[in-house]
Amino acid sequence: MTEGITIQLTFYGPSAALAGQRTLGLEVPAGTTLEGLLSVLGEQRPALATILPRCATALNGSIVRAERLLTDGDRLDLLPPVSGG
Amino acid sequence: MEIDRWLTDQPLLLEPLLAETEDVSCGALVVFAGTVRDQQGGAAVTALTYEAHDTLAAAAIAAIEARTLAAHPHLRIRVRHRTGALALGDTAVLVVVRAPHRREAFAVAEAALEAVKAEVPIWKFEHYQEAASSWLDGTPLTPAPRANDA
Repeated sequence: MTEGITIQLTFYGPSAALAGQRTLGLEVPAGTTLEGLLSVLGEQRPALATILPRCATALNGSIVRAERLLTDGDRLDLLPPVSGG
Repeated sequence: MEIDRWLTDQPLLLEPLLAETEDVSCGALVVFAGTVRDQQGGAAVTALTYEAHDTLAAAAIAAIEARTLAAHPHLRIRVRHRTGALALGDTAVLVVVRAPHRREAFAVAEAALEAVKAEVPIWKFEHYQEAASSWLDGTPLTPAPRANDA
């Protein structure tokens, strides 16, 4: 049986309303990449599906690319297209 | 990081930024203030709320200032963005640029504002008179070419 890891997600801007919550602890199998986690998230929260491909992600405070391997307790921030200024 | 230097939920004040950037070698001063307008796409806007990822937004604005100064070491620049609830007419962002001559000051101020719109994790939630409030669509963020990445 594959060991699970838990990732703490925080949704920013429009993604919080689409997710229906501000934060979420998501358990995924060890060895899951950021891209894999986003795929699971899209299945669990279909309302996010349209915006997810356009979101950036910050892992433990730094913006990273989707190939990144996740580890237990990682903090992942979902950053939709920005509209400041 | 002193987030308040670049982001604040209090009204933006121009005077401190003018004082910080004082430089007698600069003969041009350009100030851009983005303010809350009462229309968006034909809909009457009554107010808006800005949400930010505070640490990343402050870091992104600091990086815009640093990049600008690296390319133009002889000028001065400060950028500060408001967060939270804003009323019509409130200032949402201030860009202050001082340069020896006006062309460079105008160009740098505009480039800095474009960078703020594209690179800073801030989101605008508009409140309308005759429709449900909504988030504005924006520009997708992209990781920096040399981001701290595996």
